[in-house]
Amino acid sequence: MSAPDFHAVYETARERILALCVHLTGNRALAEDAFQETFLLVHAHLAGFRGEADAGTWVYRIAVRVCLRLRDADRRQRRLRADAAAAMTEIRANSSPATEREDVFNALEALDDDHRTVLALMAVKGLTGPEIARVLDVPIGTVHSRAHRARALLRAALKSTSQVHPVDQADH
Amino acid sequence: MHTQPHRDHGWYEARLEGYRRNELDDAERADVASHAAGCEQCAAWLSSADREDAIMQTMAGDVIANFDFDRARRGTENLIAVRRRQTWVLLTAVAVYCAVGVGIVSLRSPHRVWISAGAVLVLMGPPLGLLLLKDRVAAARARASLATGRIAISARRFESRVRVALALFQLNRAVIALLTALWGVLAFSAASGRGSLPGLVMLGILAALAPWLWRRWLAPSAVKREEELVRGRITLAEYRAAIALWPRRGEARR
Repeated sequence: MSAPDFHAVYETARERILALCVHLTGNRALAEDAFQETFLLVHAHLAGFRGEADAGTWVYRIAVRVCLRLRDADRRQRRLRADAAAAMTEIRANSSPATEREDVFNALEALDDDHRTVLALMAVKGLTGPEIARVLDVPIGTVHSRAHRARALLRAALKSTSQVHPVDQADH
Repeated sequence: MHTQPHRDHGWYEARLEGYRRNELDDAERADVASHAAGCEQCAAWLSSADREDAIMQTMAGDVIANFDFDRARRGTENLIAVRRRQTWVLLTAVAVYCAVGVGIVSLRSPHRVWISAGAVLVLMGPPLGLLLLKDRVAAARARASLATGRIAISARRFESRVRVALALFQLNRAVIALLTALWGVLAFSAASGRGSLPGLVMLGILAALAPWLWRRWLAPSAVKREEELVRGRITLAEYRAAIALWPRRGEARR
């Protein structure tokens, strides 16, 4: 089986991959970096792609790994610089209604990698459950149960945020 | 409350995600739908899941709308081409280094000292060339990335690349100073037949001045501006103006 064409893979997956990067990193700059890094890896390894999986699935897997790696590196840097407050980037600041979005992304930030990843993939438009299962290499039932657990954790985090900032919530 | 008493609430909960994504078979879908219609908890779960997804999708939509995918693709391809060139330069340098080294070791000439001094100069070439190339490539890549979009990266990564470029810049200076001193000592010893204190002091001064001379005459002006930028002496806007490049879309507010 011949390797897929880079341009074809890029054109097919580009918007979904960028969306996934945004969901996983919660940060425009980091998402753009992860997007570029993902397609650098795709370009570098495309010739060796054996076609055992769907090319789209393969690209999503790379994107997930890259995003988690960049996010960890970013967290370490932020800890070193002790400027966690500066981590909220302009996507959140410019969002409307800002508080709700910020709360959702703060709550996502608190999730572990497995739960955040499944929610991030779920939020990519057009990506089906079976495709997500192939990306994560788990059964579809696990995807659903992991998503359910992730949403429960997300909701608990959002609830605690609304209890901490009741005035902010009332303002919006 | 539950419309299907033969199945517990957990059974429905486990299928809510599949239900809202339309990934259940018809029977299960109808079953979950009738349950959700009567279960306040499940109905709330479904509506908040929809809202969370909508928030995430809107955020991604904002980023996608402001992202130039074609430029990012060209940037990726350019970056790969730069890496390939670097690999070839590295391989060539290693080959030259090995060839000259073998030549010196096997030398039996009475002018061996002079030839060795010359060879040290030759040997300085590849590593220095690599170092110079590396920091200039890093700096050029960062400039191109941020300002022209040839390589699409964020301002944050631009800063980190400039820091790396400047670190290499400092390393270059140290290596040049060291190699200049080494070459000087070799040449002086060869010329006088022995070392002398005034000569060594003179060479030390030359070595100390070498980085400054190199920077004064050879450093590209853009690298100087980058150094000023990272050290906070000029703003990003001033840096862009200084090297006459235009801002990348979506970064004007940074």
